[in-house]
Amino acid sequence: MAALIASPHPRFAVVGHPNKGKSSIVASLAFDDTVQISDTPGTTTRTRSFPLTVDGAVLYELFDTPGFQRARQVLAWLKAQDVGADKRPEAVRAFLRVHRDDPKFADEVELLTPIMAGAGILYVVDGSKPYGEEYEAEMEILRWTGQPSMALINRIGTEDYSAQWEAALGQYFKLIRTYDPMARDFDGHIALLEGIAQLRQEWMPSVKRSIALFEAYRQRLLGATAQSIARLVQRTIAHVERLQFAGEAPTNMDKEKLASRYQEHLRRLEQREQRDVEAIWHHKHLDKEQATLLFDGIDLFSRESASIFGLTRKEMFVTGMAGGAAAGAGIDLLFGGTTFLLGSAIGAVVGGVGAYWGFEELSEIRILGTTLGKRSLEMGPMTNRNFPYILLGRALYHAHTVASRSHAVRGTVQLVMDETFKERWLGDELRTELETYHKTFRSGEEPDAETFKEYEGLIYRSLEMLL
Amino acid sequence: MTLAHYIDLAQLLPKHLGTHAQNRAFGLENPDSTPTEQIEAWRTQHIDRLELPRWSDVFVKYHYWIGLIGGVMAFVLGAISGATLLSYSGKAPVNVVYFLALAVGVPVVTMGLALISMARASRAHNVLVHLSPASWMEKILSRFSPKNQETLENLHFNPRLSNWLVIERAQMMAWWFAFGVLIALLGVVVTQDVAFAWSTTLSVTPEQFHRLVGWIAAPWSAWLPSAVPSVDLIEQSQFFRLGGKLDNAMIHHAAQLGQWWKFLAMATLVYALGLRTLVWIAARIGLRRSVKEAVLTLEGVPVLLEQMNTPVVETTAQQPEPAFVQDSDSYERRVTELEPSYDAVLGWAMDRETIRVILDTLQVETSLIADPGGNRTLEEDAGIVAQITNEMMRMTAIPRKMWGMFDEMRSEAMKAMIPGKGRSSAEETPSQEDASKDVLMLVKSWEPPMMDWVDFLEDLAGAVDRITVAPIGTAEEGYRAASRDVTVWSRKLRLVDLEKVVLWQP
Ligand SMILES: Nc1nc2c(ncn2[C@@H]2O[C@H](COP(=O)(O)OP(=O)(O)OP(=O)(O)O)[C@@H](O)[C@H]2O)c(=O)[nH]1
Ligand SMILES: [Mg+2]
Repeated sequence: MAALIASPHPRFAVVGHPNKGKSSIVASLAFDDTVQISDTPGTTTRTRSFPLTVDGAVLYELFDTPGFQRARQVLAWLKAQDVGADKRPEAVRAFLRVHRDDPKFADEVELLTPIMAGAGILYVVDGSKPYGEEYEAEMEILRWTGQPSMALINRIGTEDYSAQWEAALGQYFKLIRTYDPMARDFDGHIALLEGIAQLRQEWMPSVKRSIALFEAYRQRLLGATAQSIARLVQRTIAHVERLQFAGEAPTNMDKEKLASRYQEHLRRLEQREQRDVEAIWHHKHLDKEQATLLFDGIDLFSRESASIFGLTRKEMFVTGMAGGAAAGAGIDLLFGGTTFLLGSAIGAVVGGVGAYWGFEELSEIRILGTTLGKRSLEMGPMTNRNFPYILLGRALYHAHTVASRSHAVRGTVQLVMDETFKERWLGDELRTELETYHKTFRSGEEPDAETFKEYEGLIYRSLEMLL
Repeated sequence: MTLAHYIDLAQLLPKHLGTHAQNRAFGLENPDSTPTEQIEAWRTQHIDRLELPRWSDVFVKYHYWIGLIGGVMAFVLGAISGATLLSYSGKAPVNVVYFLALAVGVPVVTMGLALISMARASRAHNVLVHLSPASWMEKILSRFSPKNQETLENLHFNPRLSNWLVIERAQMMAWWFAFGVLIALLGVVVTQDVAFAWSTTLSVTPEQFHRLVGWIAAPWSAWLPSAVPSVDLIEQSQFFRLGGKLDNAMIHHAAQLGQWWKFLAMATLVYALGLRTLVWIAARIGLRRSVKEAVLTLEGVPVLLEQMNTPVVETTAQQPEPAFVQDSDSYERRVTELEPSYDAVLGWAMDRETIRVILDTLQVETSLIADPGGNRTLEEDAGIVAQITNEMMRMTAIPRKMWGMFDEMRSEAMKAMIPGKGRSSAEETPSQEDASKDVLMLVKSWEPPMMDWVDFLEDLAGAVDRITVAPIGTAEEGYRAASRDVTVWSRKLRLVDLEKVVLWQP
């Protein structure tokens, strides 16, 4: 039989009762947010393959399977064959042959097929619910397949019946692990792979290679994220928006239009960056509609964001001095009077009409000389010193949320950042370092590749610290 | 890598970057190449995807014409300047100081500026570059070709690269200017008899002037002494404008005064042309390097290179999964209250002790308790169904002689059945009038309703009049099922759709 021929790469079939998180475990291990997961048993109806490939070469292959539906009937059929222990896998194969097209055993055929083709067994149970004897038939069937196996306890709810389960599973499985597919826990992932590697000697090298690969892969994703964030900050700070106007002097409407275009552009930059980061982490299907809705509360230009995510006055002052910037700017910030209150200044931009000093808090609006009888207004680069920190904070928060989101989680992301987040990444030292780069970006000059790499490095470290 | 390649890439990358997999495959085909080679190979492979004319064609042509026009203009300007300076009216001799300023002074100063520009070319906004005549010319000429202008506006040149372009162009123009001056000098010398002299307002003695001339002539004095003016010549050719006329001595040496031209020609050749050639070469090298650097930092190129050189790791499923559509409707045969007693209570995959405790909690009484499912065999389950059928038949007064056919099954089933408490065994008190047989089936609400259970339910439904399915929570939950779990059972029952089955949903 084809199944007995040594398979070219390790395969693992995730099997078990319906609705116990098989698909969730596969989604989380395969970084696949398209896997159908729901609280309705029988969500998965076909076995699906999730190969881990490097340049097209498969390192290992995972299978998500439908749950058992008629385990006792299958077991009865197998027992009726009346064969010795050595012939049991043969009996399972016979079952598959006989019932290949039997709708009654469609699920069992689906789930047993990869196992009989040589896949190791990852048997999933819910450790938050009590053990029951109805599981014995399926565990017995798995034993009949003769394939190496391991039990995975996934706790879906809050209660803990792990002890019961361990006692029962111990009768059927040599290896028992606990795994939480809802946590994007890198160490947990690696630990599980290490467990899997023990299933069969020949699989060890391949799985070990996969572990090394995942470690490098994660660094790469982090690097790409840091790059995307760095580019966002640089582009945002350096962006210049121009608007031509007719006549001698710009009207208020012209200024409004310019300011709103300017903000629109920055928002778009941020949205694009977020999409990039989501794609980097394979979260392309993040509920966007909901996400934007929820974003409103912490919109870039809203009053709250300035005070919560940017720097406080004192921090600004210290940064201004320490960053080697003109001390005047710091003092300016401290004694700037009404226009100083950044929170309200940015808030005023949103508030809209007439509050030009608010725009100027972000960047001056300049009137450029005439070209061909047309004059133009210009806004940018960003002169507001606090802004880059707001932006960075938001970007880091988003990236950290996305990167630590398991691919098994469905539903809307809750992007709610609180004040403590800033404390988690922004220390005095880092702030001083960042400021020198922000200053370069403000000059409007294209930073050279090296400077940019250094800035990226700072962001990379912050991200690593957060994760 | 040429400028045209840079432009091709700038045009190709935004639209034809391709996927990581494609680019990686390309990278694997060319394993031992440098980044520049990889990019060049990629460009060659994809160049045909660009519509004609390509931006690079437009630009190269434009660049060529601007270069040509600039060169010709510079040459003409040089020739005119030279000729003007050398024009000998016959009244006053030609002052070599002017000419030296044009052929040595200006070139040396502008070359100095050029070198400073080159050193600073890496800064995006290089003021010196924008002061260069080559830069103005570019701007003026671009107005004359609006058609190209459109294409050129699409091109956002790397600012460093534009700096080098301007620097290089400026050197080229300066070279042709100097060549024009030299040609003018030679032309004037050949066609006219020019008397050279020198004069300055500053008090410079002939000896000092000789020293200066000596320095200038240093590069060729060793092998071309005739092109180095002697002290005598310098003394003789000093000219005082104040005198207002040529003195006799000068007229006397008029033939000698012409000797200056060799020096002037050599000075032009060595400084304005020779040195400029070196600076021009340096500018070309700088430009070439900057093209290479600009290519490697061009938007899209770092991504392309990274994709070529990092393995494609894929973890996800290769085929999309059909979306799971959930039937959200719930089962409509429902009761909110349980009856105080049932003819039989079945606990699916439960042990009898648990069933009793649950019944106490629910305050439900029954005469028969059975525990199908779990690790019972299918035969035992069938026996339970048979037993219940048997009981029912007897109560609905089916002739006793028919009982026998169930007896065999019944004895099997007895193992699985125990008498309930509360009511005495049905066998003892047959109730003739209560003909309907009512069964309560307890199920673990947290476990999914599986087909194994459905099969049993269908069998059972054939034997009784009414089955009430009651999802029960865990002992810790006080046997109360979470409504989320009950919903799952409700949906399942809807799919199974058995007339006799009702769902208990308190
Ligand atoms: N809170 C929590 N929920 C989980 C966990 N694992 C799975 N779930 C939820 O349990 C439900 C079932 O998960 P699935 O992954 O679809 O289970 P399955 O075993 O693939 O189910 P079928 O395909 O129907 O056999 C989903 O609603 C999941 O969100 C977990 O570790 N924690
Ligand atoms: Mg599933």
